Amino acid sequence: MDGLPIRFDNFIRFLKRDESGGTSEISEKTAKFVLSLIKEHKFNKEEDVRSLIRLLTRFGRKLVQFKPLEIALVNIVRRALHIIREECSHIKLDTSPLQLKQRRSTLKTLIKGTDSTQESAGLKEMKKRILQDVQELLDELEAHMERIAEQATQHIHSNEVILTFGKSKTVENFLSHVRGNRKFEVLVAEAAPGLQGQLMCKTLAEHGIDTTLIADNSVFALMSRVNKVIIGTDALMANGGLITKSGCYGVCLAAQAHSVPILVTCGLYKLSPLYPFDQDTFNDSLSPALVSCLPGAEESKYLTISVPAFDYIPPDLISLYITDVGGHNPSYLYRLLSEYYSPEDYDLNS
Amino acid sequence: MDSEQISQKFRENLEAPNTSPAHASIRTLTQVIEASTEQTVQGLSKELERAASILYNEAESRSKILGRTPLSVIAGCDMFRHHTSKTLAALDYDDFPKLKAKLVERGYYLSETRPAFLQKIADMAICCFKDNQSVLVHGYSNVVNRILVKAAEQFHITVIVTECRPFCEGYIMCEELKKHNIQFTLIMDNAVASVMDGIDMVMVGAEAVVESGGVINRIGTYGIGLIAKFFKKPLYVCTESLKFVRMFPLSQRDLPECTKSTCPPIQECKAVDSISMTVCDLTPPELISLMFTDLGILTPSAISDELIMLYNQ
Repeated sequence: MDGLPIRFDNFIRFLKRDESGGTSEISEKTAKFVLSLIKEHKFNKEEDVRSLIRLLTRFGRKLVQFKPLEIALVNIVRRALHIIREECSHIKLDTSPLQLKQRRSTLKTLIKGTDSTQESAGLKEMKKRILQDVQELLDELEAHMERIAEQATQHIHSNEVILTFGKSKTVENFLSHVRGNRKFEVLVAEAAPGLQGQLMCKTLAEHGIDTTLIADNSVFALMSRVNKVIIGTDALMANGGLITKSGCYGVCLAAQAHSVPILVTCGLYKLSPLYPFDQDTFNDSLSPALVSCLPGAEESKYLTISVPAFDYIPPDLISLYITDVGGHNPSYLYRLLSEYYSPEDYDLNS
Repeated sequence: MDSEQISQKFRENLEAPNTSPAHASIRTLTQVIEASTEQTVQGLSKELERAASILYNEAESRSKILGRTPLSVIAGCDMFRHHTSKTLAALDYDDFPKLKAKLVERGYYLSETRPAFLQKIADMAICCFKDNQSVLVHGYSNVVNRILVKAAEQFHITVIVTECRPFCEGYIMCEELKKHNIQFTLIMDNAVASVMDGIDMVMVGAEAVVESGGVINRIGTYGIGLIAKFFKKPLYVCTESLKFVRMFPLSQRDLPECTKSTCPPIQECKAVDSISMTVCDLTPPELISLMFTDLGILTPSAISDELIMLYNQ
């Protein structure tokens, strides 16, 4: 037990060093680490399961501390915890700080009460099943881009003009999946101040897609020619809203003004059980060096430079989410939540 | 039990602390089952049906004074009667007294869940508060009151309370807020639009939540919802799941008859005999941002799912 916190630190240091990967790569690594934690954990008595849950919760907290705005990262831990708790409920092992009675989340179980006809099985058997499920989670992470890209032909038609914002691996795969079959054009907004859109533009062009790089401020002017906006996202919130790179809200509002549908391609592991209530809760400030290039400007005390990292986009702007398990309406997401997470893990700090 | 006894019990249950009409009606139905001497499923179902209609009439007659519609009684009775008929359908496997005991146990459990659920809702709703926010509330709701009290312990908030005519429940709200030392301002119902730009969120309770995810609540909620939408302010509905009711009103005209009545004019005027008074209106789901219920934080579209899961399986 005592050795493990050091392993956490090692893993987190390892994540820190490895800044190159996108959210999906880091999430995969986290899932692998969680899998190895579970593999090494003893499953001799019931108390071991509880200690594993505590351990993972602690790991989750560490992750939040380390990368508070990689919202998707902690989701992996939450999913693993949910898998364990589900298995525990099969053998009627109480793991929840809440009373079991309160653990129901549908009206039906409230009125009916929960059935108590489940067979009990050994802990060894349970470990096997947990490992299998976590392995499935890992497989899902590895395959999610492919699964999203497969749906591309349903959404992109010939001669369409598609606008995207900044760089997203998922969007890139999604677009390149169609390239051979149909001719379409992509406009890429450069997404200042990170200018990731320029990289995106280059990759798309390498895939043989007609690509045009545009400045962020011309998005509104060009929107009247656009058929669809397709964007990636940093996190998907429980109310169906999005946390994306800043600047995207403006793109979505422009699309709404022109009645252009907005599609979001996103792996389900980014679905977070948290509710955003305003623009500030999940946000960060980036270095002012990104925008300031006036010599001597930093010396003026009257000048403030503010570079918010994220935008919160409310759900009513989004037309469709394209996830690895199919297309979903924003208002449908709450149902997926109860499928993937346990309510007691929503807030790991409590 | 005869009808007089049932009404008597219902009134007693309503008086009890920590209860609501829905909880009280479930408790009364449970007592009916407990006292019943019927030996057949048919007989018991008939008795419950009769009891439910007595409860409805009783609640309707009370609504004239208190302004609370019998909708939550309908919700509570429907849910519990559905559960009863489902449970009794298992008669082949279990004997009758055993099933009855099971029903009674569940009924008492349900009727006593309120304090825990209020706590749960308040715990969840706390995450939408911040310092120096102002909240508009309409009408009096135990759930909203509980949330505000809890929020005021952690944050500095200001509450804007509407009068909420014709039953003027805003005054009760103010008294409660005063008791807990929460800063508040009472405004007239028609001043909502003019204060809306300074408000951070709107919180209302519910008489009943319908299948579309819309909410039936004190008259004026619809208007407030429209104004809030125009100003892009969130509207949160705070309610217990026992108020979910199987109705699908498409417009204001589809609301049940019990939400409409008339009252004598406030000011003397020869031309006017009475004021047409609608007690409740329907706020459509598009105007609602989120719902805080004991089942969790829900979007309006979750309501139909919950109801379908309960009734159709």
